[in-house]
Amino acid sequence: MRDVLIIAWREFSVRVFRWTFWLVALGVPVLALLMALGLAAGERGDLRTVAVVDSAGELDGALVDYFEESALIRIERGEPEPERVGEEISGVLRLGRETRSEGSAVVQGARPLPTAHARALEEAVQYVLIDEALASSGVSGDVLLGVQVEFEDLQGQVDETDLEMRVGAVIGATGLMILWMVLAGQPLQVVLSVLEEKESGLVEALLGITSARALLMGKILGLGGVAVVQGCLWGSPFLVLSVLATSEGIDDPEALEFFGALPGPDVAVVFGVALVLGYLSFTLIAAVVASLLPSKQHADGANMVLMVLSFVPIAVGLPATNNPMALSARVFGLIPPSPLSCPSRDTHRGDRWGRLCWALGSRRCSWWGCYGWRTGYSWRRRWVPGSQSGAGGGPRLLPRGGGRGMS
Amino acid sequence: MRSALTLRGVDRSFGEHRALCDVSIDVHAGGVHALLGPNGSGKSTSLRIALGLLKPDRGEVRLLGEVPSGRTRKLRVGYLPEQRSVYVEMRCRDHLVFIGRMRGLDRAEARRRADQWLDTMGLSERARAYAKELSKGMQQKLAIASALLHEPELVILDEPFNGLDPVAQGLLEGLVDACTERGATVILCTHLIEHAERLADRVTLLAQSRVLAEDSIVALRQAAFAGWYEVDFEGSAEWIAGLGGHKTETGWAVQGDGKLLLGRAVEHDVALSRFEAMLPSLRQIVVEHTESP
Repeated sequence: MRDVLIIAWREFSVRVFRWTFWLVALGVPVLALLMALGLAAGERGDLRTVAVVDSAGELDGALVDYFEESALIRIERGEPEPERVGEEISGVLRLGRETRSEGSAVVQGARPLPTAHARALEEAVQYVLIDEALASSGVSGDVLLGVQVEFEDLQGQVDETDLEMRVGAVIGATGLMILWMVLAGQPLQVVLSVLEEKESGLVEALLGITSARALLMGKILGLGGVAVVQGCLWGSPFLVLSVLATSEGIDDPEALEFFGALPGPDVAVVFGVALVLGYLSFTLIAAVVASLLPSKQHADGANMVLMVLSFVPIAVGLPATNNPMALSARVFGLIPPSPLSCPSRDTHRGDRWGRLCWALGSRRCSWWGCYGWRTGYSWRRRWVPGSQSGAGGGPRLLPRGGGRGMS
Repeated sequence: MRSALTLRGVDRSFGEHRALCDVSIDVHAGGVHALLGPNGSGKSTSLRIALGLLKPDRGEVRLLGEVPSGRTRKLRVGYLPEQRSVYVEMRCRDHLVFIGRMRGLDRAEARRRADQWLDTMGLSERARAYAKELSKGMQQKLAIASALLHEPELVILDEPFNGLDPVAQGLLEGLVDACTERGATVILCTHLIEHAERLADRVTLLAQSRVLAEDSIVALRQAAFAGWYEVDFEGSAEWIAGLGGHKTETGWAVQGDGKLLLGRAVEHDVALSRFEAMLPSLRQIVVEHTESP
C-alpha cells in the first residue's frame, strides 16, 4: 500500500504542481463564462411580446399553461385595450383551421410568423385540437373567430426568458464537458504514462522495485486525484452559479436543475459513486490499451479512438433523458438501465408507460427510471394530462399526435 | 565463496527465438563481474531473469542466496536498465526522492541521499531542473544515481557508460570501485571491453545465447595464451631468427615454450633486457570466442 501511495503522489504531483495545470484549470471556467456572456449579449431585438386576444376567454388557460411551461413566451393576461383591438395588428397567427378565422371582423390578414417564438407559438397551438377542445368544453366553434395574435416591440420580458435559456444551455454544456474531461481525460493520461515508462525503460527499473499491480493502482489513484482537483476547480463555479440561479428562480433549464439538485446528499452520493465507477472503468480500458501499444507514437491514434468512444454514451443517450449529465453519469458509471428508462420523451408522453413513470416518480425513481433529477413537478406537467393547476374546465393541452382515447 | 547471483541451466525463448540456452552464471559476492558478449547474445535477458522481470522457461535462479523476492529486489538490489530510465517530467531531485522512497527510505532520508547523490554526480545546480532539460549524459548520471541511491548489496548496471563523456566515465568507474570497497557486488553488462577489463574481476562470455566462458580475467587470459613472448636483447639476432621469431615495433616476438626459449638465449650468450609473455587482451579473447563458429 505504501508503494501505491508513493506512486499515486508522484502521478498527482507531477501534474498538479505545474503552472500549466493551473492555467488550464482556471482558464476553462473563465472561457466558459465569457462564452455565456457572449451568447447572452448576442441576438437581441428580434423578439416580440405576444398578446392573445381571446374575448371569450376559452383558450386563455390552455395557452398560458403551455407558454409558461415552455418558458419561451410570457403572456400578459388581462383585457386588451379596446381601442387597440383591430387597429395595431401586425400579424395574425393561423389558429387551427384557417378557414375558421375567415370572415372575422378583426382579422387583418394572415401570414407566417417570422420569429422563433412565433414558430413555437404556432407549433404549440397545434396541440390545441380545437374540435376536441370545443367538444369537451361545450363551446361553440364561433368563439374561435375572435382569436387574434398581436405583436408589439420587445419590452424586455421575452428577452429575459431567452437569456435564461441561453445561460442555462451554456452551463449545461460546459458541465457536460467538465464531466467528460474528468471521466475520460485523465484515463487517457494513463495511456501516456504507461507508455512513457515502457519506452524509457523505467518500467524495468520500477518492476524491479514494486509490482505491476501497485504501479497501476498508484496511477489510477493519482490520476483520480488530479481528476478530483480538476473537477472541483471546474465544477465549483458552475455549481455556485447554478445554485444562485436556481435561488433566483431560474429553474427551468434542466442543467440548472441538475446543479441545483446536486447539493442534496442522496443525489450527490449517487452521482459521486457513478463518477468513481465511470473513472475506474475508463481507466482500466485505457490501461489495457496502453499495455497493447508498443510506443508513444501509437498513442495518438488510440487516444483519439478512446475519446470518440467516450462520447458515444453521451451522444446515444442524450435524447433518452431529461438531463444529459444524468445520462452520462449513468453510462460512465455503468449503472444498469432501468426497464422504465425511456428512449424518447415523446414516445411515451401520456401513455401508460409515461403515467407509470410519473406514478413512481419519486426522487428514487428519477434515478432508476428516466433520470429526471428531482423533476417530479415538471414530469407531472410534462407527462400527465390535466395536471396543470388552475387549468379549470377550459380546453387543455393534449398529447402531440392526437390524444384520442385519452380521458 | 558466497554467491550474489546464480543462474543454473536457464532456458528462455521468445516465440521461435531462443534467447538463452542452458545458461549458467555464478557471480561471486564482492567485486565486479562483467557480462560480455555481442549484441543479442543474451546478456540483458539474463539480467532480466535475474531480476524477476522475466520468468525462465527452465532453470534455477538465486539472488543474494535466496529465491528472488520482491523485497530482496526492492531493498538489496540496484538496477540500471540499458535505456535512460528517468522520469523526464520530474525534477531531478524529486525523481531521486521518489526512487529513494520506493526503495524503502523514509522521506527525510530519501531527500538527504538525493542531495548527496546530486552532489556526487555533479548535478546539484540542476536539482530543480526537469530531467527532460538535461543532456543525455546528465540523464544517464541521474539514472545511475537512482540505481545506487539506497546503497544496495548487488548493483546491476546494463550498459552504464552509454552517453557518458570521458570524465563521467571516470566518475562511474570510481563509483563502481566505491561499491566494491563497501562490500557490494557489481554486475557490469557492457560492450565496452576496456572498461570491463579495468574494472572486472571475473567475466562471463556469452554468445549465441550460451555461456562460452566464465572465469577471472587473469585466468581467461592465461587460458587463451598461445605461447608468444616479446623479447628484447642486445647482440646478434640469429638465435631468435632461427626459432622463427620476427621483429616487431617494440622488439622481437617469438612463439614456443618459455623455458626452452630462455635456454637458447643462455646458450647464445644473449643479454635479455625483456622477456614477456604476450597474454591476449580481453578484447582479443572476446573477439576470438564470438567469431568462432
